[in-house]
Amino acid sequence: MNRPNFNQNYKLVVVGGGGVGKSAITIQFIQKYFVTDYDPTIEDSYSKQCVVDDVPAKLDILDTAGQEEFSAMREQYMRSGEGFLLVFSVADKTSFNEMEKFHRQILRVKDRDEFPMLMVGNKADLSSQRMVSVQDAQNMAMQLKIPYIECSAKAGMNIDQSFHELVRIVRRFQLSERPPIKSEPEKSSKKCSIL
Amino acid sequence: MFRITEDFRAVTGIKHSSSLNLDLFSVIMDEVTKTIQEVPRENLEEVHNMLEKWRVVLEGKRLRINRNARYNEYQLSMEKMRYADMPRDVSIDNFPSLNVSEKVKSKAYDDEDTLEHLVSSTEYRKLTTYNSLKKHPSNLSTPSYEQKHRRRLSETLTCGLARQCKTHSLPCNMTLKHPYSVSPVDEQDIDKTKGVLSPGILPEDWAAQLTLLDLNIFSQISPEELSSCAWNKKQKLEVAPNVVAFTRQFNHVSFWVVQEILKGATPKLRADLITQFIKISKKLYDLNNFHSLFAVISSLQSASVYRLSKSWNNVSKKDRQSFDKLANVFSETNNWRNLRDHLETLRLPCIPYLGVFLTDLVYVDMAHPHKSSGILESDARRYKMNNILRVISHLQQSRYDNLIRFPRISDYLNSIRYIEELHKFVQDDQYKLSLKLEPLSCQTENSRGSKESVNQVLLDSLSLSPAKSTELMRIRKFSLCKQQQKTNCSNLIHKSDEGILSTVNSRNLLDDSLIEENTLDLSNLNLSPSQTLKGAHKISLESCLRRKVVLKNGRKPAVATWQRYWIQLWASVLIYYSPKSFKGCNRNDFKREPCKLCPLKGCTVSLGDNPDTFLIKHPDQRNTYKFRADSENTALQWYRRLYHAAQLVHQPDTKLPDNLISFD
Repeated sequence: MNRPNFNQNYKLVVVGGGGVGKSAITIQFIQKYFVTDYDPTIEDSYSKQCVVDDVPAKLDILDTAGQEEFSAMREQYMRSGEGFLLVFSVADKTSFNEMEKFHRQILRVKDRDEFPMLMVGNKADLSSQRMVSVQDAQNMAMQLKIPYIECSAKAGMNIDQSFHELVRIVRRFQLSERPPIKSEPEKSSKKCSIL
Repeated sequence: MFRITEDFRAVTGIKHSSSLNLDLFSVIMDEVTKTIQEVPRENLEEVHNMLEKWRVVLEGKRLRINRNARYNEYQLSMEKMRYADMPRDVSIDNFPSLNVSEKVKSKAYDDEDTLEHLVSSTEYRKLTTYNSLKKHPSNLSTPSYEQKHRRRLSETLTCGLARQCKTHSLPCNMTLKHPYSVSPVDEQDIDKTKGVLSPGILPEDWAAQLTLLDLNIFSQISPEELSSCAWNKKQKLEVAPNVVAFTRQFNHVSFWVVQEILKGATPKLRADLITQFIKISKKLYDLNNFHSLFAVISSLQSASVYRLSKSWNNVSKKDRQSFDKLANVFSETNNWRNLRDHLETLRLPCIPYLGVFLTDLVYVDMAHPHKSSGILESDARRYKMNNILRVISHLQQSRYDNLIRFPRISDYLNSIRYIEELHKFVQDDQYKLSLKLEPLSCQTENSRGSKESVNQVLLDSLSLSPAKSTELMRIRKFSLCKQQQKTNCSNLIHKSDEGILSTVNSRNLLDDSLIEENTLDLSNLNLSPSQTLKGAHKISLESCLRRKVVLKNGRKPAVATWQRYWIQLWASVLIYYSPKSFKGCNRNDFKREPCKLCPLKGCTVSLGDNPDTFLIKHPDQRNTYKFRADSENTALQWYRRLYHAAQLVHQPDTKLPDNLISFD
């Protein structure tokens, strides 16, 4: 069977407004236990090896938590991303309303109509403070034509699932996007048989 | 009496016909004119004598003085002197400034004031500042001839100097160290229509002013603001006002850059603006100002600017390379490794890009949350936070005393603001403008062939330059089309052509979706391309042909040469293979991978003037190509097949939608 992505290296970008818990999600995913040992300044502090659908993958996660206000540099880092987690907090209506903006911006930078993205509603454990209903979120996701998942970084719920799901989306997308050059071995294979 | 040689040590460092930098030039001029500055001004004859000796000495030092204008003719020559006449590159060989000063000095005898101002190059600068002060409207209303004259002189001089300075890339932090190197900054200079390209303001001036503005805010950031981690929270303005101001400065600079570039009406003009900003970036890099540098770099990579491939194509390769290099500094790979490493090697002064520190602080805050009860912070938190804060506070000691503030430029820069809350709309507007300047559809033109093979381009995909990536995009689409074609050909040959044409001819968002839909279908059905290939395509004709451009975009090209290709007629699409070497007409002499794909939809095929040639006219793209075959026979054969193929496409087909693919 052909592997869709040969190096299985994925650049995933976490976007979302300030205070939605992007960093919490990332840190939960990268360093499940012993969070206190985490050093954000070293080189591999944002990469993780994992196995998705029995295929190993290395995920490089770009999280610009803290840099949300540098709105002018957003498009630059979006350009390199292969998949995006669009994070909002279910306890913060404004962060939810920003989803559409991020979605559009990504498509614009990528210059396409669709791109691997996953909308993530964080802080799903705070049921008493919930401002965005599941239904609203799902409607929005439908409208943006991207899947939706709820998670809680605090409770460690659905964190891995979110990233793994995004990897699946990216894989599917890359498979469909893959230029068919590799699939033109007809001539060369003939040549090989002669040799 | 003439002790110039003894005093003037710098002369050993100057080669004949080498260009001088601004600082060196003013030092030399000061030194060289020392004797003249001491001349008693009462006596015209003595001044003349002095000038003559001065000239002799200078010429003895192989400095040439242009004397074709007589002293008493100075008025005429001054009138003739135009900004544009000034040489672009002042070298010792060609000393126009000296020429001017000589001329003026004789006249200056009548006006002691002028003499005083003109004798040394140092004074030229003073004059300029003086002039800019005098620019006050009340003075301007009645400018005496002398004043006018002086202003023009100073303008020409400083322009000359400025040009000369431009030819140099000055070493780090040397740029504006010299106290004399005050560029003339007139009110006039910042022309709102010209903006960043205003004459007389050099990239280093912009860089210096941006740096001073940044430093002012950066130095005010307090550790409490940073450790609060509240600069992105609701109460940011109260808790972290300076961090917010600093980020806004970043966004405003970025906004300014995009706005300026989009002001350029033509691709050429926009390319000039982009080049200017790349130059400013280089100066910012030299000044270690990573804050503004990143602002400029990220705006060059913003969606609105990055997509302007026509403009980028006009930017010289060298400038694009330096842009790539600078952009690479801010690559986010490996946790901003490049930027972090670079920061560590630097010496002050330096204004860092704060964002990376902010992210680090957020993560430390996340890993070691505040104890809710307000007792002691954990040691780890304090330790890690302090590590970051220490670095920042060290950087805050940066001083740029060597830079001189030009109120007019900084006021101008400060005037470019927008309301923070409207950022989204501002960005949307810029993007719309960008779309208007270079519409999406004109970016892909299948006939504009790339000489690179598909594989090569894919390998190049890592490069940053937008021009390259559009190329890649085109190729990728091309291959997608091919894939589509392969699947389609098995069933409906002309159907597939419709599909291809819509993807190839115009590249808009709708078409993108078309490609994706189709290819997704393909993958869902689990058809490997090799399967679909089976019995799929039939190449009806192929041979070596020479091609020449007759008309491109409705215009005749300046140079048109015959180019060799291996060309296949595949359904109703021409596939080009570029040659491997200069000679040979066999298939083996051409590359394996196709280099372009050219659908024949709407094309008219006709025979050429010579029996072995034929013409293909693309009415949509207003392109016409002439082809030449080896023999008359081949040409005729090609003509017939092509004619047939084009006819096939012409047949109206309404039974099935264009993008339908069916698999049996």
